[in-house]
Amino acid sequence: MSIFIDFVLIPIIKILVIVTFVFVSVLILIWIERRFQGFVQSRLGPNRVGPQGILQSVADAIKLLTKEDVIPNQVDRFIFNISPIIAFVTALVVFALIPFGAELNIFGRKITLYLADLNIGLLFIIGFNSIGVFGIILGGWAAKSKYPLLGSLRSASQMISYEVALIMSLVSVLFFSRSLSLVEIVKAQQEMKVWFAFIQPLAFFIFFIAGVAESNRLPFDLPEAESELVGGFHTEYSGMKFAFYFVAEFAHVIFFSALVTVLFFGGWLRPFPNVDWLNFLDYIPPVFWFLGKLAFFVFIFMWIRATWPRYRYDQLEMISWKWLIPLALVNIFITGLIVILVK
Amino acid sequence: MSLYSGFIYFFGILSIFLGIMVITRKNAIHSAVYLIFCILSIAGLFFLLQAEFIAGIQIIVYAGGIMVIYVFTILLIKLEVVKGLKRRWEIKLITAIVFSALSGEILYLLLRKREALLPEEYGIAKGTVQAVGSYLLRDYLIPFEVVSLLLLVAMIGAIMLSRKKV
Repeated sequence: MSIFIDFVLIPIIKILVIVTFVFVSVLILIWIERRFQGFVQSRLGPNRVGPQGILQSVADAIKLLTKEDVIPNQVDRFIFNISPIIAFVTALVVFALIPFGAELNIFGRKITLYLADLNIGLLFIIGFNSIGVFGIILGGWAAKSKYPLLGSLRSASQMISYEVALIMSLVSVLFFSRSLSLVEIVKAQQEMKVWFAFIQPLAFFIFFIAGVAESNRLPFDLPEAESELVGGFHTEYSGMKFAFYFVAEFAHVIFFSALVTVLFFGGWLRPFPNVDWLNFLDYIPPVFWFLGKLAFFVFIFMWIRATWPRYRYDQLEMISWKWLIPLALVNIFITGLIVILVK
Repeated sequence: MSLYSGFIYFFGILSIFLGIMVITRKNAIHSAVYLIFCILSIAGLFFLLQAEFIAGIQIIVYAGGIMVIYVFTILLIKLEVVKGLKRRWEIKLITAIVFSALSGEILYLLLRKREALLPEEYGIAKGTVQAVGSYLLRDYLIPFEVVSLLLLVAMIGAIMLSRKKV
C-alpha cells in the first residue's frame, strides 16, 4: 500500500499539479502580456470579457478548442499532425525536472516538490529542448507552402546556433555546482551562500539571451516574423494544433524563467542567503520565493518583447557566433583557471 | 516478470517496431521522424540499464544534433518518393548473410543463458556522469585527446571541402 502511494499516487498528483500549473499560468500570462503590451503601446488591450478582461484567454481557449480543424489539401498529413504534438510534449516534459521547492511534510510523509531528480538533469533538459526544434522544422515543412517553409528553415538555423551558446554558458556554472542535477545545483548555492548569478554574471547574461532566442520570442522571433512571413511556421495551422504551438511557446518562456531561477538565482532559496539577520525570511515558504523569481523573469521576457525591435537575420546569426559563443568560451577558460588556482 | 524487465521489454519491442518503420517508409522524412522516436526509445533502454550519461548523450547528440542535420538536409534537397527500387542480387545476398548472422547470434545467446540477459543480475552499471568523466579525463586521458584531435582534423577537413575556391 505504501509502495502504491509513493510510486503511483503521489507522482500522478504531482504530474496533475505541474500540468495544471503550466496551463493556468499560460492562460494568465497571455492575458497579462496582451494587457502589458497594450499599456506599453498606449492602447487598452483586451478589457471586455470579465473584470479587466481577465477571462479573455479563457474565451480564446474555448474558441480555439471548438474551432474547425482545417487541414489544407497539399499537406503531408502524418507530419502535419505529429509536429504540434512534438512541440507541445517536449515543452511540457522538461517541467518534470524543475524543483519548485525543498521537501514538504504532509501527514508525516516527506514529499519532494519535484517530479524527478535525475543525475543527468541538465543533459536531459538540453536534449528535450533540442528535440522541440523538430516540432517547428517539421511543422513548417509539412504545410508545403512557402512562408511556413521559410520560417522553419530560419528556426532550424537559429535554434542550432543558439543552442551552442546556451550549453557553453552552462558549463561554467557546473564548475561550481559539480553536478548536473537541478536539485544539487540549488543545494550547491545554499552551501556556498551565494547565487550563481553573482559569481557568473557573464554566463547568466549569455544564458538569458540564448533562452530568449530558443523560445522564439522577440527580438529573436524570426521563425514567425508576422510582417514578412504571415505567421511563419504555423501559418497553415488552425484550431487545436495552433493552440498546441501557442501553449508550447509560452510554456518555453515559463520553463526558461524557471531554469534561470534554478541555475543562477538560487531556486527556492531566500534572497541574500549570506546575510544572517535576514533569517526571518525563512518563515516564508520556499515555493513563494521560487514562484516570485519565476514571475520576475517572465516579466522581463514580456518587457523585452514589448520594447525591442526584431533583429535582421544576419545580425541574429552574428550575435550568436561572433559574440555569445566566443564570450562563453572565454568565460569557461577564466572560470576554470580561477577554480584551479583557488583549489 | 518484474516491472523493471517489463519496461525493458516494452522499450525493446518499441525500438524494433520503430526501426522496422524507419526502413519500410517510402518517404524519407517519415523515416527520419520514426528514426528520431527510435533513438529516443533506445535512450529509454539506456536509462533502464542505468547508463544515464549515455542516455542523455544519445538524446542530445543523435536525436537533437545529428537528426536535425538529417532533417535539414532532407528539407533542402528535392524529395522524390522511391518507387520499387531494384536491388542487385549481391546486395541481397550480403543483407541476408548479415541478417541471419546477427539474429543467429541473438538466438544463441537467448537459448544459452536466458537469465543473465537482464542487467539487474550484473549489479549497478557505471554509467553516471562522474564515472564516465573520471574514465575519460583520468584513466584514458591520452586516447581521449587523440580522438578529439581526430575530430578536429575531420572538422577542418569539412570546412576546407565546403569552402569556396578563392
